[in-house]
Amino acid sequence: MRFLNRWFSRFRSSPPADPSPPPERILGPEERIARFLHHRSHFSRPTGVVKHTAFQPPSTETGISVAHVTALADPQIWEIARATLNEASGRGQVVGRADLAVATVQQQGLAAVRDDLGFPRHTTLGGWPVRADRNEQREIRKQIALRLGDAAELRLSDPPIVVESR
Amino acid sequence: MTLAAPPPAHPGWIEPGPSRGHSKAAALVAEQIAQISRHWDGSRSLSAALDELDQLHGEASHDNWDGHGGHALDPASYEHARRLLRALRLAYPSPEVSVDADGEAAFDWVFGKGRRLAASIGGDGRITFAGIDGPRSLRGTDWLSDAIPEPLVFALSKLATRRS
Repeated sequence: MRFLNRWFSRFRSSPPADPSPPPERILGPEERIARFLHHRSHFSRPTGVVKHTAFQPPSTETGISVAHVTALADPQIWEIARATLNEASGRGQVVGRADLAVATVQQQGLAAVRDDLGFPRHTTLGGWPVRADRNEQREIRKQIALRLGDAAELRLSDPPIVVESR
Repeated sequence: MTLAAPPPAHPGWIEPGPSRGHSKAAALVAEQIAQISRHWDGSRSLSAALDELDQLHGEASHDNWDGHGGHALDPASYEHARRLLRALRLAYPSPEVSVDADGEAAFDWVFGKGRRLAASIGGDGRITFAGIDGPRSLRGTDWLSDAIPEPLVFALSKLATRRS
């Protein structure tokens, strides 16, 4: 279980990380995940391109938030998107999403662990490499994010899903 | 990735500073450089990229602008990115512009499925780049100075000119 050992060690700086995720929470390669996009600059509408910045985490983090969406219909996925919204800065709308197979993220050495934290079906895409050399870490992470962006399928929400005012 | 082709001799210079010459010839050359710059700045793709960068300068000016905990765009990174975009315009297609989670202006060049280059530029002028070309990949770090770093130029040339 070298993979899981690597997973545990890499996850130490992720805030809500479960130090020992039960195996049933680790999503298999056949599963699907979605990264919700809150800002139009993370994709190109005319070309359908998902940019690498949609996936690259801050250098201080080792995981990003996605949703487990296997077998869900589009309207159900957008309902999950709605549940991610709040009135905090940057979280007022969802303009699209980037869909991926878990197999793709596993090929990059990452793992998808469903934890249902914060919103239904919340999943942490963790295992982003940590290196003592910050430049090397940036390069490697950029490369991974580039691969994910290349493999992702862009789905737009027209019109954007917006937070409901109270 | 195998790097087989040599980079162009003068891949892309950064905007020259004010001329130190005082002759009529120096003034003429300076004016011609300015005219060329104005011409290229007016090209549609470059102006679109610069406009996008300017918009992001406003929209990404506070932390968590992206809803995922991203840092605000570093003003020094923004200035470097403008210089880099204007330097690239002479030889390369304008990239897609965004801001990464560390607050660095970022670029994506997409040359086809599985053939991409991404770069971001820090407030200190450090450029981090990574490219993919099918199963092959490349990555590196360099600094913006008087010219676009040669490794970045080489990567761009390689990916932009390869036939699918």
